Amino acid sequence: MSHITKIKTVIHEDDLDAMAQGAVRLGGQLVRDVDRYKWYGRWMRDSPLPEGVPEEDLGKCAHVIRFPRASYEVGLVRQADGTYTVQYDDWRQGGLAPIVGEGAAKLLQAFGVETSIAHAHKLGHRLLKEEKLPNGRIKLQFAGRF
Amino acid sequence: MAKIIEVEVDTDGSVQVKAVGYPGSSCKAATRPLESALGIVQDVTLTSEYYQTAVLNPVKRTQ
Repeated sequence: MSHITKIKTVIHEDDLDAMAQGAVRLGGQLVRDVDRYKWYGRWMRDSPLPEGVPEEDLGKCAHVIRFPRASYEVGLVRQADGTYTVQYDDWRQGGLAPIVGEGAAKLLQAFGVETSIAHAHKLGHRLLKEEKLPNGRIKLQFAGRF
Repeated sequence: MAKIIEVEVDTDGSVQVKAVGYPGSSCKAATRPLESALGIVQDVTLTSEYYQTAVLNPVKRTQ
């Protein structure tokens, strides 16, 4: 190994299939073109607003992710630059927190795995192995094209 | 040595990309397209192998 690059993953428009596959990994389903995600419906001022989101825009989104065991939904919110952020109400009764993890970490990890596989395949790399590591990371090995 | 690209997806969704078996700086060319497709590069660490390979392949000079 001669170098290591750390990357913050970004959800682009053409990554929605990978997000759909990531949702499936957690038992959910991405439903496109739904402009409201289910949440409590009123900001209780018990947590900060998502960065750059005014109160009146809470609950608005472009697509949703639904989970059979949760009454609330995850919203995929399109940004001005065309990328997406993930928003959801983590109130316990909504049922999402144990599924998607704190800060949607489990969902973002599942997306990271699926988008890595998708982009690697597009570039001609072949998946050899997927392994869950003791530290919680998921390791993917690809046969390099070059 | 087989050329392998390793990706580790962290518990927060961030990704680490590593190249194994690529001589010297060719590892960067191998992984750059994947890195740019995945998102924003936050950090690049060159390992000892990166430099060792460079030493093993010196440029020959003639007078």
